[in-house]
Amino acid sequence: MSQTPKLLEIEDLHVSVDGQEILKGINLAIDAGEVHAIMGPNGSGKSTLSYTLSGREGYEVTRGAVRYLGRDLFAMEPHERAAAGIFLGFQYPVEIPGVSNMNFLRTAVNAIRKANGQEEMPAAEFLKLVREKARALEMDPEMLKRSVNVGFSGGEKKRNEMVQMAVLNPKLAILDETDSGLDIDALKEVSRGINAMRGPEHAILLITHYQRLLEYVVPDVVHVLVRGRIVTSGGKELAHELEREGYAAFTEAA
Amino acid sequence: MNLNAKAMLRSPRRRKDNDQAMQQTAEARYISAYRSQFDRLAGGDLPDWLRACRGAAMERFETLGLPTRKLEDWKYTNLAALARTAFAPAEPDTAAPVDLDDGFIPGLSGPRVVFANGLFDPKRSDLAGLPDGVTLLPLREALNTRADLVQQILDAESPDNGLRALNTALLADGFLLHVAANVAADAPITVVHATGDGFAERAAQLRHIVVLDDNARASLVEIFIGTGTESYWANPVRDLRCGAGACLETVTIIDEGAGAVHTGHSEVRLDREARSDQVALLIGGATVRHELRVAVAGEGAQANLAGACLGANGQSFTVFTELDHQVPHGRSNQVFRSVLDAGAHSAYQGRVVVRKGAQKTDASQANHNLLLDRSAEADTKPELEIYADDVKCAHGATVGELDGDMLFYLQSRGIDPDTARSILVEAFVGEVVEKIAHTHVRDKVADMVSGWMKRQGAAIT
Ligand SMILES: Nc1ncnc2c1ncn2[C@@H]1O[C@H](COP(=O)(O)OP(=O)(O)O)[C@@H](O)[C@H]1O
Ligand SMILES: [Mg+2]
Repeated sequence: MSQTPKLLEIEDLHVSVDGQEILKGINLAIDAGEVHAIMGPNGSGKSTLSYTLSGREGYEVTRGAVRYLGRDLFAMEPHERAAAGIFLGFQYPVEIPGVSNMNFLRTAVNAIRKANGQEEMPAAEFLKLVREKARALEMDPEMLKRSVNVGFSGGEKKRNEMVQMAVLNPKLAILDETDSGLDIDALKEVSRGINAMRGPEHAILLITHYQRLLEYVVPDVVHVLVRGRIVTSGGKELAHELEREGYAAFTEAA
Repeated sequence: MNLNAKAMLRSPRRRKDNDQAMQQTAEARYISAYRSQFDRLAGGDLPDWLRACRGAAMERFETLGLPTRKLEDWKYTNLAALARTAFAPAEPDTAAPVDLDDGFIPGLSGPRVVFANGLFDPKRSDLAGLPDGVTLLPLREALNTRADLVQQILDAESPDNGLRALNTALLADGFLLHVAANVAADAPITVVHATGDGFAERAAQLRHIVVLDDNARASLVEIFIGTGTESYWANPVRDLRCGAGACLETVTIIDEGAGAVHTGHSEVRLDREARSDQVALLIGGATVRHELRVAVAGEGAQANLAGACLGANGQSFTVFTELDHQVPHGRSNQVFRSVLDAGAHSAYQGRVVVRKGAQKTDASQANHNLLLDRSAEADTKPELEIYADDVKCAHGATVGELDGDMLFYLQSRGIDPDTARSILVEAFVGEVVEKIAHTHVRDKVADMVSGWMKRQGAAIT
C-alpha cells in the first residue's frame, strides 16, 4: 500500500483572520509536475491561502489539514517550509533597506542548503548562478547590489521575486498575483521565468485575478475561489469562460 | 520607617524640603571630596599658568557642581552614581596592567596612544612613524614643550559645564596632536583607553587636544574598553580645532566595563571650509553619555555626526549634540540610531542653533530607534533654535519595533528567525557603520554589532 504522497494535499481548510473566517473549507491536491491556477475576485481569500501555506502569523487554522510531501505542514515554521521546498512569490514584495539583494539571496541559499545537510555554496558558484538567473529574467545586474526591493518599480519587484525563485529552485512555488502591475513585456519575461520552472520535479500554484497570465503559462487545472470556497475546478478552458462571463455567475453559486 | 514614609507621603511639601536639604549635603560632600583631591594633586611639576588655570576650573566646578537632571541638557542622564562616591583620580599605583587584546583594531597598524587605568602608558604606546609636520605627544610633555598651544585651547574653554571644569581642575594626562598646515596624517591614529582591575571607584580625567592647521588632515580611532564589572568613571574631554580647509575624521568606540559611568565630551571648532566626520558606537558601560558640541565658525564648514547605541540589561545611553551654526553656508548632518533590548534606555538630544546671519545653513538630523523588547525605552528630542530666515533644517525621529513583514519575508526564504532579526538589526545599524571610511575600523565596528546581536539572541533563547 506504500504510495508516494502527493506534493500538497489541502483538506477542508478553514482559516480565520482576526476572528473572521476567510477560508471556509478548501480542498485541493497538487502533484509534482502540475501547474494549478487559482482565480477569484478581490477579497475571495487568495492571499489568505498563500500566506497560510507559507506560515505567516495571524492566519488561524480553525479546521482541516495540509500535508506537504506527507508531512503536517502546520507543524513546520516558515523557514522550515522554505527549506523543504516551498516558495511564496509575494503579491506585494517587501522592501528591506540596508540588506543587499545579493547578501539576502546568499544567506537564503546557504540556510536552505544547511537545513538539507549540504555544504555552503562556494561564493564563485553562487555569483555565477545569480548572474545567470538575473540575465535570464533581464534584470539589471546592478539591482543585485541594491537593497532588497528598495526603490524598485512594481515590475522590478516581481521580476526580483522570479530571480529569487529561480535561484532557490523550489519544489512548490506559490505565486500570488505575480502578474498584477506588469506591462506586457514584463509579463512575457516573468512568464518565461515561470515556464522555465516547469518540470516533473516542480509544482506551481498560480494565483491570479486575470486570465491574461494563463495565456503564457498554461495551467493543467484551474480552480475558481469565491468567498473562501473553491466553487468549481476544470481545465484551462475554464479560464476563458471566466474571461467571457466574469465572476458574477460563480459569485451567485457561492 | 514605615511611619515615616507615610508621614512624608501625607505632607509632600516637607518631603521636598527634606530632599533638597539632603541633596545639598550630598553636593557639599562630593564637592569637598573633589576639592581635597585637587589639593592633593597640587602638581608641583606643572607650570604656573596651568596651576592657575586648574585653580580657576576648580572654583567653577565648586559653583556648578555635577550636572543634575533638572538642567535641560542633562534631562536624560542620571549621574547619581557620581554624587554618591567621589571617584578618586588615577594614580600611578592604579595603572595596573590590563589586557588589551580587544583594544586594537585588527589589521590597523600605525601610531597608537594607550592609556591604561586612566594614565598614559608609554610602554604600550607607539608614537613613532608619523609624517613630518605631525606632532603627537603625551599631554604631560606637551605642557612643557607646546605650552602655547595647550594654553590657548584651555583659555578658550566654555565656562558653563561642571564636568569639563572638573576635568580641567584635575588635568594632568592625555595627548596632544598637532598637524601642520597642508600636512595629511591619513593613517588613523589609534587611541586606546583600557580599564581593568584595580580601578574601582577611580576616575580617568583625560584631556585630549587636537589642532589641525589650515588644510591639514587627520584621522583618529578612539577606543574605550573596560574588562571588569567594577564601577569607575571615565570623563574624557577633547578639544578639536580644525583650521580652514582642514579635515578631521574620528571614530569613537565606547565599550566600557559593565559598571562604568562614561561622560565623554568633545568640543569641535570648524573654520572656513573645514570638515569633521565623527562616528561613535556606544555599546558598553552602565551609564554612557556621548556629548559633542560643534561650532561651525567658518563659512562653508561641514560637520557630519553619526552614532549607534546598542543597549541591554539596564544600560542607559545619552547622545547629546549641539551644532552651533555661527556663519553662513555651513552644513551639518546627524544620523543617530539605537537598538535597545530588555531594560535598556537611550536618549538623543540634538540641538541645532542657527544664529542670526547664518544664512544658507543646511542642517539635518535623524534619530531612529529600534526596540527589541517592550521594556526598552527611547527618548528623542531634536531641538531647533533658528534666528536666520533662509535656512534648511530637516529633522526626523522614529521609535519602533522590528518590522513583521520584513521578518516574514526573510523567513519565507529559509532564514531562521534569529538570523532574520540579526540581519534587520545589522541593516538598521549599517546606516551608521557605513559612514566609517576606513575598512579595518568599519569591519571592527560591524563585527561588534553582529557579536552584540549574537549575545542578545543567546540571552533570549
Ligand atoms: N490581515 C488581515 N486583517 C483583516 N482582514 C484581512 C486580512 N487579510 C485579509 N483580510 C480579509 O480577508 C479577505 C480575503 O483577503 P485576501 O486573502 O487578501 O483576498 P484576495 O487575495 O483574494 O484579494 C478580505 O475580506 C480581506 O479584507
Ligand atoms: Mg491578494
